[in-house]
Amino acid sequence: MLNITNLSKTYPNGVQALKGVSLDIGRGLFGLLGPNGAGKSTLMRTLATLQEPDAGEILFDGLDVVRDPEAHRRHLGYLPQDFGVYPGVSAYDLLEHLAVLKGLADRKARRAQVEALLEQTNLWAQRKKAVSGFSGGMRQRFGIAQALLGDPRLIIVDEPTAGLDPEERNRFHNLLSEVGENIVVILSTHIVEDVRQLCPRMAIMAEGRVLRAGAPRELIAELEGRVWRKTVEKPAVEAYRKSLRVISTQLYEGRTLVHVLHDGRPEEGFAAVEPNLEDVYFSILRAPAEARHAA
Amino acid sequence: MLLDVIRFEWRYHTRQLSFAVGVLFFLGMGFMLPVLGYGPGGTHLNSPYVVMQSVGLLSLLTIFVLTVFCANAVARDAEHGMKEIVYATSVGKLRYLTARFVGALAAAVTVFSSTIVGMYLAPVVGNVDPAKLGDPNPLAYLWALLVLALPNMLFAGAVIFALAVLTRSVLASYVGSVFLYMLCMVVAMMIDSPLMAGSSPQSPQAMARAAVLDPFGISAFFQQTWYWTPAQRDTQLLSLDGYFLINRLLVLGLSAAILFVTYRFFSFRLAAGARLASAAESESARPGGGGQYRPVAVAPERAAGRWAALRVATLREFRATAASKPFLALLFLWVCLAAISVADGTKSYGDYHTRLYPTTGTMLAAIEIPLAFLSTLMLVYFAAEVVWRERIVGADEIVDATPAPNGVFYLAKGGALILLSWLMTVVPIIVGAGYQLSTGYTRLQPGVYLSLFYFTGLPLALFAVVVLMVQTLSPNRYVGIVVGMLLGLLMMSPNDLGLVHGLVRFGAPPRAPYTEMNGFLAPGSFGLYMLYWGGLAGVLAFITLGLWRRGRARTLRGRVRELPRRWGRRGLAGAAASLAVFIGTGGFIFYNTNVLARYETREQSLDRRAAYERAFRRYESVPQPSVVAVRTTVDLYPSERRFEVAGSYQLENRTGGSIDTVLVSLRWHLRSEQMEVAGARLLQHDANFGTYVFALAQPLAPGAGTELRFRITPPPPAVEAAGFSYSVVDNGSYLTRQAAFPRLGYVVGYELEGESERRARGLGPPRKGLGLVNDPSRNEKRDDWLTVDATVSTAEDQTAIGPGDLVREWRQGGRRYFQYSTAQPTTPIFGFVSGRYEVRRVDHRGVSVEVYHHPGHDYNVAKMLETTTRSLDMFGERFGPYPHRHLRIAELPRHWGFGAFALPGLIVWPEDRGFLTDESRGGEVDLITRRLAHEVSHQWWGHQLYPAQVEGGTMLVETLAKYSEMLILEATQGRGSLPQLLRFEREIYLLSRTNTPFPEPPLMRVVDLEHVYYSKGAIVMDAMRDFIGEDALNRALRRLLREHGATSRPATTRDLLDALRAETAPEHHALIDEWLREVSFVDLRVEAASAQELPDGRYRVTATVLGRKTFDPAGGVKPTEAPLDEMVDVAVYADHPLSTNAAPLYAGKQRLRTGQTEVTFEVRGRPGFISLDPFERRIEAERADNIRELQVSPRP
Repeated sequence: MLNITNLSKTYPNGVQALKGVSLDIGRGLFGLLGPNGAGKSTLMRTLATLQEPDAGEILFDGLDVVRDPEAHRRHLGYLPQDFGVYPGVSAYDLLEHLAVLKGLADRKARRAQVEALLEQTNLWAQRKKAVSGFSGGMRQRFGIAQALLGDPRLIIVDEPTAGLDPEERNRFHNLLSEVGENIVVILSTHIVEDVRQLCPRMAIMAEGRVLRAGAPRELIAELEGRVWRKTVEKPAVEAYRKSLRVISTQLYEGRTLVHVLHDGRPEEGFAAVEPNLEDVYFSILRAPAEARHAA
Repeated sequence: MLLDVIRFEWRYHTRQLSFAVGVLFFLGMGFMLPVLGYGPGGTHLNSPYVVMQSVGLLSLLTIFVLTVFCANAVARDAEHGMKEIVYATSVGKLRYLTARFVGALAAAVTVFSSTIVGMYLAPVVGNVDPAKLGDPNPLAYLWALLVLALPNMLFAGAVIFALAVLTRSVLASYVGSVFLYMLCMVVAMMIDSPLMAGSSPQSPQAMARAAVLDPFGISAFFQQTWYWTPAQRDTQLLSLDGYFLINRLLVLGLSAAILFVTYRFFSFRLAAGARLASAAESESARPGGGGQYRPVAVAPERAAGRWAALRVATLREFRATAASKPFLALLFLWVCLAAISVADGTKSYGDYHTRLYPTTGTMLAAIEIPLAFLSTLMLVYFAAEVVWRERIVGADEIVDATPAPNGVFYLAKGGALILLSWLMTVVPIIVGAGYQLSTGYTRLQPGVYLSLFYFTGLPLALFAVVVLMVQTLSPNRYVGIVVGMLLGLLMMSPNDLGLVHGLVRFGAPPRAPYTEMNGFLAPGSFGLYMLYWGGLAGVLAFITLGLWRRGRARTLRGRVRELPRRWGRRGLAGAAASLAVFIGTGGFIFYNTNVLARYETREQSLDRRAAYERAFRRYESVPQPSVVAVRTTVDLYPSERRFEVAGSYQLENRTGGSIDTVLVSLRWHLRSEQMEVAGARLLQHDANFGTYVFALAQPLAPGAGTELRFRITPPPPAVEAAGFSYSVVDNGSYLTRQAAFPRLGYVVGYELEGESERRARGLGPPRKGLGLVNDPSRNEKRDDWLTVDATVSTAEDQTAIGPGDLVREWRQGGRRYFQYSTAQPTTPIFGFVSGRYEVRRVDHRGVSVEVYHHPGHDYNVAKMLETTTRSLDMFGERFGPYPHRHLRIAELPRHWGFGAFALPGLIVWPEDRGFLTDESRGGEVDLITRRLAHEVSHQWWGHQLYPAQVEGGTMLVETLAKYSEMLILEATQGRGSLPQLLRFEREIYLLSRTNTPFPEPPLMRVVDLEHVYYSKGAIVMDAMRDFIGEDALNRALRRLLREHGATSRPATTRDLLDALRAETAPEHHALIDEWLREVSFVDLRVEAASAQELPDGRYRVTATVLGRKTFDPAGGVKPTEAPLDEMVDVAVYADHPLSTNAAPLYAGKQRLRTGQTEVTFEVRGRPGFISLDPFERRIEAERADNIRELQVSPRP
């Protein structure tokens, strides 16, 4: 459905945000995982027609998004990473305002959807309150409500769960997965957990490139039997970094828990670990440059 | 440490783009003022006076510079998110604020100082006429900077800094600065500052009050320099004393107070944020969280969808701005300002501060300019707000990702701005209507009010398109505001002279004022210009749309590259269509103004007049025949604004020699169908000057005659290029002889008068006066009297007025015809009037007195009839019989700028100069009686005593009319009314003479100085009457009329002097001579005054008076002392004479001499104050010391 080919973008200040990104994304939730500065937001904004690439092509259902952004916006829902609202405007009014801008000309249908979305995002009780006064979670739910207005066939949500408490995150995930059954939903995040819970397919980005793409399950299967762990004293970590492929380190009761990628047990004291998505993520991020290209 | 912080601030500011822009702007402003010749006439362009005034006025503009710097200095931490970091540093509050303020102020002062450099350099490197320059005085520049600009900037800076600090909002400081600027204007208006009232006379108390209160010291500057003559202005510096010193100290003190308050109330702690909706509330949500998500089909590309989007987006923008605090504050201020403007608008400053009825036309005139000014500022500021709104609040990504097309956002934002301007327009309409009702005036004329939406609204809409474009192109909103402000000032720059073609003045086509009689002149022409500029605005709109910011905008260059793709075929077609409208209507207007009609720029006009002088001046000495009789038919077509004139002049050789050449001149833009002289052939015709030179086949012998036949049918003005022709309008036409009829001989009046204009075109110096009073070769020269027989036709519903008696009146072919004929020759001044008039008529001793007035304008008609008959009686009795069987008074639309004008047997009078005067609402003088008596008396002074064209001629016409007017005023109002009038005239005289670029002539040689022949003339005539007695004065005037009236030898002021001498005793001659032949002033002062009660209950008053007299032959440069030794009025009052109008307890004459004079006399009643010259019969600048409280001692 969504085909991204060789997308590149360099900002006027010289930062190369996208370096030939190619991705094919089908129906359902797609997770875009990457550290801060990986180029996720640039990619998302480009997909949301808010930015134009220097080179490359984006096709959505065969339609050229870059050449005809107006047509693309018709079925686009976008929740930016960080957004503000007109001060003092109530959730209901603002949602309806955006609905009109989205092209819901029919008043009855528009009101019905606005009301339904307010309920689904659990904002019904606050519908008459100004969005500018909402807490982070409420504002984020409002954001998803507006992204769902109309008849979106591509929904882009950029870092949606940052700042949400676990319960709100959960609710958010439910809504997304419900919506994502029939359309393309791209979820950009640096939280592995979000992707693990929601996305049947994913890609990992860093430094403007897509390092890996695939189904999380398959990516995890590739590491089967190759991830080992050991709890060591802090000073020893440096030595391991030099001698082994350390994919992650984590403090645990004052000592350091080291995850290592290795075919076979690297040395005494290492225990086998059932690999998870986090291991996948870090193993790909930390892979030496040549290994990445091979992938 | 503090210095380091300040240095950092200074470096920060001076590295901003705004600093460079500001330096360039002020350098340019300073440079342009001398180059454009700013300053009062007769004063050097680089004189200390002009330098100080320029610096003072330009310092008002620093408000905006200070705003940029101060707002930046304070708000930059918050705007750039540095607030938390900076506030947490160890820098103390005092040091923080001091550094920020001093840094910003220093940068602003540096910016402003560049204006001084520009001003100083302009005469050196610029194209400035060296004759208008004096020796530069660098001290004047520095002094002006120090005493005027610096305190002003400190004050303005303190206010804006306080605003910025206390609100921490850039926008608030920007809006605040506009308020500050407007506040200046409001204060200036409320205290009647010279800045607003122009050169209208002010009472010393009002001047003093303004001088103290005006925070920018401009009023104090004017107060100190009020009576400075050109010579003083060229040399003297402002002295730091008196009210000026008080004002400067007050301003410094106020600034310090503001800064202190700012310091006290500023806190480093962050302002509490918006209250968050509580989590508890969010949990009380409806359980279940709603049902299944259901998409709803969208149709953004359908018209209904777009309309809906446009509507909600427009309303959202409008509501968000209109309900914002800055806008509400602006509205509030506007209500106050509108109320002041409206109340002020009914006041006629030029007409002795009388008030007009608050007709809707008057309201409109008062509202228009402040509305346009304020709305333009509003658009500049709020366009920034509206265009950047989504980006400011951070909603841009969501909104930009919706499918609503750019056009929806563009139109919504533009529409919101236009709605805001409409809101601004509604305010003064309500205020104006309220004012009308509050004064009991009920003819509100909503249509006239609504015209504001057309005549002011359309240009504002065009400007909205411009500011939207500016904001779209500018990298941030502040740059946009500055650029928009400059464009707004440019668009509002006045076009007083009406000399710039409407095709090159964006959104500001030629306008004529609304008049009650004629309504709006040529509204269609205005509409056509609006269509023309609308076409350009359309192109700008499409460009703006093509470059609209959407999403993460590219650089401007990137957006420009994108433009063709964004436009597509439809955008291109739209832009092309707009361009076609622009070019098409522009072509149509150009064809109408420059091909069908004739148009010339100011330069072209000057060049043409210079060429005329070169080509035809030689005819000045070629004898020409006289016009002795005019037969003419005048056809007026008011609704078409067109006239046709045909007829003949009977010519006669009244010179001693024979005449072989006839030179005929027609207004240059008129074309004649026929122009021929019987028995002569056309030797030369120059269409560029409208001249025809005829050679007579047989030279005319003295006494012989011939005939000039002409037919003139100019096309109607379809579209006007710059000014308007008011000759023939729908209602209230006034076609003068000069406007439509040919003239004989060389027309001196076409010559250029300005010295530099003449020099630039290779012409010699301008004529000085008209020759000498007693030059026998000149005093015979004047236009000859003539008879007129005229048939005037006009529209069927109008009445036409012509010269002489009405012979016949009939209707024919749907038009009305009137035949007028003069019974005997009159002065060669005639004109034709036509309008839908109501007529009031009385027959008074064989004279039909008729008032032709606009229906509804009958407030003062009864009084006019009464004044006219009374004047006819009195002047007939005192000066000689009235020569006509009729005297007509006709109302004209107010677009005629004069007060009133007398033709033989006809007085034309614009509506706002008497017909609409509301006498019940005050005014210092009875305007209607005064003006009408004056004009009626011109039937004697001007139309019977028709002076020779020599120096002093205007005195014989105007000063004597002024005298006659005072006779009537005194007869109707009593003696007490004259001092008030004379006080006003003295003030005008003293003030106007400061602007006279050449040494002021005495009355006897006055040519064209109103303040001499009107104002000084009035004072001298009253003094003369008091001095020689009214009978002797009237005898002298009767003698003058008898010997020089009608067709006998024309009179000069020498003849007046002779007549006065003949009727008075020799001891009077010296003072009469002085008043007529010198420019003299007295200076009187009561040094000490006391009163002693006498045993019989009366009081003996003793006073020491210091007296002095000066002659000022050279305009204030070297006054010479003259002996004072004359009888002067001295009066004693119970209370201060300026605070009451009570009659004096004593009024007598005392002989006062140069130096100290002791006067003593006895009065009945307890005396309070002594006053010298209480009835204003001497000319004296410093009169405050003429009054003194008496030290009264009781009976011994």
